[in-house]
Amino acid sequence: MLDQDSLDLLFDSIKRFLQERYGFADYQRISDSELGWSQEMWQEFVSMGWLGLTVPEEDGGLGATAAQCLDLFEHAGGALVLEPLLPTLLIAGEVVRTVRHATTRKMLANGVIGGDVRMSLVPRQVEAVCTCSVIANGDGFHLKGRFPAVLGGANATHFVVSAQLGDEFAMFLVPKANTGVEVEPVRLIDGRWGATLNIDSIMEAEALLPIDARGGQRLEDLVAAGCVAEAAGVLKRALNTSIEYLKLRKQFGQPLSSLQVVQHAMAEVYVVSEQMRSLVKAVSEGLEGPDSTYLVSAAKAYLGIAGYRAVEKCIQFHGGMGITEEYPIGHYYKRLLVLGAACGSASGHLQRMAFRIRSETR
Amino acid sequence: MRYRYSPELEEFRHEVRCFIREKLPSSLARKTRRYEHLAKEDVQLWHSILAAHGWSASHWPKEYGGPGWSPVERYLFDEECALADAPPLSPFGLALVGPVIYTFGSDSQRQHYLPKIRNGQHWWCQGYSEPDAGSDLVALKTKAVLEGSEYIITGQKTWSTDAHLADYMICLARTRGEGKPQASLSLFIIDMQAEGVTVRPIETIDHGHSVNEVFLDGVRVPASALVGEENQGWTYAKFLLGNERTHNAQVQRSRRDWQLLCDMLKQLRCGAGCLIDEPSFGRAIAELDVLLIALEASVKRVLEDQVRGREPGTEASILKLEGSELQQAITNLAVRALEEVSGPLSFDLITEHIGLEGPCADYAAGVAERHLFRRSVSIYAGANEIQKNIIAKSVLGM
Repeated sequence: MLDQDSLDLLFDSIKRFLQERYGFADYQRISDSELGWSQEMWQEFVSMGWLGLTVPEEDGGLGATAAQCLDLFEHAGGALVLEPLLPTLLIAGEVVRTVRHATTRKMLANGVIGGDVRMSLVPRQVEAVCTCSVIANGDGFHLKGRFPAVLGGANATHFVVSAQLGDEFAMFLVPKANTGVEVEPVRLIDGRWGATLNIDSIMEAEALLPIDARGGQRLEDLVAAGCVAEAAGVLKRALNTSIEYLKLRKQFGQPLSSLQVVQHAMAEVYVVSEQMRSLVKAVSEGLEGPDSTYLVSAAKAYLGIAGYRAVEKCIQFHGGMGITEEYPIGHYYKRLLVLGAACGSASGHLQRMAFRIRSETR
Repeated sequence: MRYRYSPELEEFRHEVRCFIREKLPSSLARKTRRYEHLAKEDVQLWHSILAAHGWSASHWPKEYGGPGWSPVERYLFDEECALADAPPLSPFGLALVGPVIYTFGSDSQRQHYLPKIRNGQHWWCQGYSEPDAGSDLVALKTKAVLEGSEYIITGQKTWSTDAHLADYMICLARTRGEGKPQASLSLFIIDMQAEGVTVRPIETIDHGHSVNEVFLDGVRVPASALVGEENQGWTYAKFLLGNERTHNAQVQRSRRDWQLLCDMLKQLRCGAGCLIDEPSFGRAIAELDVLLIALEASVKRVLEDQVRGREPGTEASILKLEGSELQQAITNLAVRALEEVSGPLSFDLITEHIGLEGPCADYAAGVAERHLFRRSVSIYAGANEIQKNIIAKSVLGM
């Protein structure tokens, strides 16, 4: 495993790269392009070694844990990165590690490191609105289901899908190239491409990953943790952008930043942004612990309870400028809404927490 | 859910837990859950038990008689005390005055005052706020005039918690400095038995008595009662209030209140089930846990910074803000729950009538008092609006 010092160095360089090369204007240009993300940028990420971060060392990667990578997502969130780092980077290592077939494993590992394999996790959370069935079919399986709003779905090459196999939990690695895998791209409000996935496909036996229900939950926790880390980056940037604007914008002969009503609201935004960062830290320390799912739920719920409101205040204090496409603040808001809903909304997470609280000994 | 610490720290926690289990009288734990305004003897009893073990001044350095714990150990100690419903010790001597004296005081002040704060023999109160100087503390008018080898102090202090029980007051008064109003403040130690000191109780809306008005009418104190240097009082006061803010997050006590509230919701009947089965209450108790976990995470961040030698600055304001609002949010839900089951609140709730038993019944019995008195937590120690001013100014540069 990579030691923390080398990792911090890498994150510093990532931060610098994003500051220099991924400003708001770059984001706008890429977002307005036909593809909606930049393959050139993606190749730069590849050449800087970002994508091999979580791939095990024996497979040629850097072997970092997902928890160690959360800092990267804070930076990427703040820069509104459109490229599909989010699902791939966090789950690739875990998935590659479980693949038994040596050739497939090598192909996947090299693909991830080289940027040609992009994975997307189809979370179980969408069960309420997806139907999914799988039946054993000779040596393989027949997987059937419809999965809406899969984050990173439009540019993924592989889908990690959980399904019910008899009474058992099962997880499959489904290549997009398989016959019977249909991807309907959906542009999400933050400009990123998601997809609705229609699967009616015969899988080979090796598509079944040796991941049990706990392992499946863990993958979901990892992606949710990534969302929370991105959100922390978004909140911090939304706060800083707003403060800058408020210091420049004058009304009634004085900068808006000198009004106490504005100062107090921004102090509240600051508190939320710092609390979100504390939660990211707690999540990254707790991801290997027994309460990781509960902790991730809490962080995800905090984003919905407090995070949205914080950026809404920022928009309010921008006045009319806050609702223009030209200003960054609205883009931070849209990114935050997507991050809040991906991998389960605040309501869903609160419900799950309530269930657990109820079931603890009375 | 519970944060996990290293095996050494968990062992430390275990040691503290066993000690408390063995030594804490159950009657005291019950009174604490019921939120009774504890008698001085009750608090002193627990204080002396801790002092005998060297644990009363839990955050003091070793050289002044503290146990020499790291910030994280202190936090765990406080958490175990809170989870066991140990009565909070009077914070004024231990948490506020002690650190000021060992940081800025003279050797003779250290020798004279610190041991007796530590063993609980002396109680302290604060003389900061005045009728016209609350959040705007710098506006205070109490005067201290040097006459020969004595200062003569005249003025009126208010909101002095425990002044009716205290042996000494730490008092902020105006001396003869020049320049900004902050530059003429000095910090004094006043003997509450001195001639010219009058204490008048202020009854609060929970029908409790813990705060007081204190009249200082030409009180003579020796020059040695001055803490540190003349006209440096504002620096010391800010240091003291900074400590108070970290302390005021009260996150461990809130965690315990949350647990008791959870148990209460699980026992209170509602229709065919319990209150916690109601989606609105289930969601609300989960939401409080979210806020608690976030605050615990922020407190942990500050503690880890402290371990690395970085003292909290503006983070203290975050903790005070969020901590106080959370304390209030918890009692808000407790009130909502009781209203749902037994209608309008009473100071004399009979918990058996609503089917409560065990520790959470004690908690329920004190909900009205808690809820009412907790309105104060967002007001004292620098009102939350002041904390927002501090953040806007010193962090956001607005």
